[in-house]
Amino acid sequence: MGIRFGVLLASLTLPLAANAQQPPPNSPPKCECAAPRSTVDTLARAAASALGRIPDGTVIASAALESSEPAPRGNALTALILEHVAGRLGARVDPEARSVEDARKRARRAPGIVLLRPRIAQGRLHLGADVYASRRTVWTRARAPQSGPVAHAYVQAPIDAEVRSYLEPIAFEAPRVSKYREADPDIVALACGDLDGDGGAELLTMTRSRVLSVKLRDGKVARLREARWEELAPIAPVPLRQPLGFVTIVEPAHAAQGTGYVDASLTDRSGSVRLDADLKLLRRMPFKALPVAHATGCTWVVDLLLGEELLACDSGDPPIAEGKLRHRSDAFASTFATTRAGEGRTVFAMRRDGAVVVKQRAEDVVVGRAGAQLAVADLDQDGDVEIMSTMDVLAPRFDALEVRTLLASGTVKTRYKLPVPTGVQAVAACPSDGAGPRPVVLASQGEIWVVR
Amino acid sequence: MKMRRRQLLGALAGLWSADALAMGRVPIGGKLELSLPWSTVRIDPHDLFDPLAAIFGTMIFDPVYGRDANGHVFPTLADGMPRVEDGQTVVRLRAGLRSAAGKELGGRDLAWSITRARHSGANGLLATLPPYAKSDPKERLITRFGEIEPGKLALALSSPVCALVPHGYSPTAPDGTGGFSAVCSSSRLELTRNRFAGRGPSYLERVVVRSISDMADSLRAFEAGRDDLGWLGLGFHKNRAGAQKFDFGVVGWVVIVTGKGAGRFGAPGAAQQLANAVPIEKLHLGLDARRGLGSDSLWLGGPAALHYPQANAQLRAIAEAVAEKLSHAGHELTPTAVSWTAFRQLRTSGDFTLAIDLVRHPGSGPMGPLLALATADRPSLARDLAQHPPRIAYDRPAHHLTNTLRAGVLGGLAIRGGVRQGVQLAADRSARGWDLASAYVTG
Repeated sequence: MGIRFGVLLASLTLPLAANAQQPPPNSPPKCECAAPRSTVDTLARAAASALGRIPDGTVIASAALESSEPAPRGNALTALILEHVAGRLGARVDPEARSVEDARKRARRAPGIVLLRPRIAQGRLHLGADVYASRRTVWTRARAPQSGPVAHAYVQAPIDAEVRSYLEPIAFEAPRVSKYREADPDIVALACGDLDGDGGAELLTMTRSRVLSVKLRDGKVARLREARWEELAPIAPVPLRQPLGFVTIVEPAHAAQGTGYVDASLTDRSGSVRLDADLKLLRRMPFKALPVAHATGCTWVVDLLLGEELLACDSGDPPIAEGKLRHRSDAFASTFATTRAGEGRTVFAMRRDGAVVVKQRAEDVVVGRAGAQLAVADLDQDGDVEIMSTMDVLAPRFDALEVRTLLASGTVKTRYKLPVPTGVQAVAACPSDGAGPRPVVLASQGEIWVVR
Repeated sequence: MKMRRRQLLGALAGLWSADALAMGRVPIGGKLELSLPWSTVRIDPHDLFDPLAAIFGTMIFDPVYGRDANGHVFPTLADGMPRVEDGQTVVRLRAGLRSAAGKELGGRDLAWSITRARHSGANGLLATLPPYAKSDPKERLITRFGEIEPGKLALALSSPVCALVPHGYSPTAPDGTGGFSAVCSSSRLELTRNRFAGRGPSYLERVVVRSISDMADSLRAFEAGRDDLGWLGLGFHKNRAGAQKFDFGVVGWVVIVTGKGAGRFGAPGAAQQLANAVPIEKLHLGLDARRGLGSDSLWLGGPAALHYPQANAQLRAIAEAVAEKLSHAGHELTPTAVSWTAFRQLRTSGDFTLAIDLVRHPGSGPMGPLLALATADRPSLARDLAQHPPRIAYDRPAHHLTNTLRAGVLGGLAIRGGVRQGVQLAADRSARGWDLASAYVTG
């Protein structure tokens, strides 16, 4: 059985021939992407997929975990990752070996060695995997005493509660705010995520006139790319007087073709649009795309409220599990969260009659009153989700960012309330970028606040 | 032609007229009730003399263009500004527009609406446009207007008197694209959220407007807590507790018009002299105060009837006050109510001596008020003025625009009164007056 030579990357590239004037045909390939999973499972699947088939009897070992933050149970995490990847590849685990040489010495007759290199950095679990060819004969050992890997894979994903359980726990402290000026003054939605798969988070702002990709530096909001609504979608036949808007980053690991994309919907405009990482139009979709777990689902706006059911936005998107929301809402957020044991679930937060209802595992919990800006995420990676919301007020001076945790017991614990006297126009959670809870971004009258 | 950024922003601002931003959303639902001393039998957006259209028209109907507070024209129901194609100026409607009754709207409806408006209240306003508006059999959403400068066309079409209605519109069965759908009857106007609203459905679920025959009834109902809004005040005997005043400005003018039987008072400018003799500001008739009045004159034309359209209690009260103030021995004026149909015939024929009428503010640029008041005199005069605009300052008060007309302004019809606690009213940002479709109830 031959092993493919060359470098294999987990991320595939999708040919993007779209532009605003000539949208591509609305016929995406059938999605073969998996349902949302835990970080370890996601990485194991991605690494195994990228490496392809390996010879029977191949031995897999892992280097010690490198971590930028304290990892009291680093060895146990390494073992967990090793077992998952081995299971996906069908390889034999050598739990003791920490290098290729170690593994070779301990398994001289193995047809190949896979060495994993797990690393914790900037809030993500990075996993490198190298495949080394067999050197079973004296001749092969003499000819290439220091031969390199014949295949390589690299994958990464944000730390979840399961991974965090092997690291130092995160504690909530008093929020620290960094403010960035020169944002659009009338933002209706924000999105934060690793759009291009480079491990760093991209920030998108959406107004009633455009979607912007921005960078925060030197106290200012720098504009990188722009997509104007007038070029993306026609005005909706029945817009809302007070708009509802959603912008969602679907990261490469959760995209059908392995390339990240953006789904944006605004009640001023017909349907929704899917944009590539350069904010070029990929396709238009007939209904309103909302964030669902790691991706999106679509619903309708009827009588000024979002619908109570979610469907796949596009024929290439995976079906929506638990798409029956049972509530019509005027604010909506969703995330995928895992427990410390690695069990995943999709969490929905909906604002109904001024109160936030959280739906997870087919259960509804009323969290309490909230404003119309809503986000949900496991900020401290402890398995319990945080609900970030504004206040149910119409005067900006009374507004605040309130962060509450929905504990596994069903009770709600307020983490902090940060006054925002200029009013919160949109809120979103960013991926973890290192130690401490995940940052939260909010838009307020021409400013972006990053709350840590 | 692409929509300019300013036009786009204007369009979006037009869509969004609520005061609240972000945080909690504007509450949805609720019902308002009010009583109004005006007839609720019919509503016709193209009728320049329709009081109900002056007060509620912009909540039920939309023109295809609007004007923002700075006077910039922006598309509302049109898909961009007019553009020139093959020597003709073309307006394309937004796709998917439906009337409140669910009728699909296209270029044929716009052509019909504009033709209807031209033969009705927009006679003067559209005088400088080519004499036809045609739909395009090949492109359903297009209306062709002949050769005209696109900006000028958009400005003309921004008047509420040029609103888009479905082909075959009937004023007794109103159907438009506004935030509310409407049902008219002799006793009430019922506004219900329009789920097809081209610029957004109303926040309120329902508004009930009862037609009353006594101006004081509204204040009594408001004071007693039966109504949510009081027309022209906060209460009859005393102000309702917690109520707030509102004033959304002038949406039209009550005028006195001289007809063929007025003798020397039929001369241009004489009607305004009669109007100036009525101290309308002191009579608590809900008319906006006038300043800098010119010369005045009592009625000296002998006994005569002062006609007004029936079932409009406020107009009746004004007519009675005018008759009392202008009459003297041997020259008595008798307020005389006539049916809407008969009054329209009087307007057309001019076979009357004096009449009290209401003229809507037509928007549509600085000449709008003059052309509207001139239409109340004679439509042909309005057309002449539109084609040969006099070199005057058009921003002067309405009662200073009537020196050459046979219509005199008694005062502006103001949207004014009291509102109960917990109701947030909103101004119409792309037209005049208020916008109950953007109003909401908090308590």
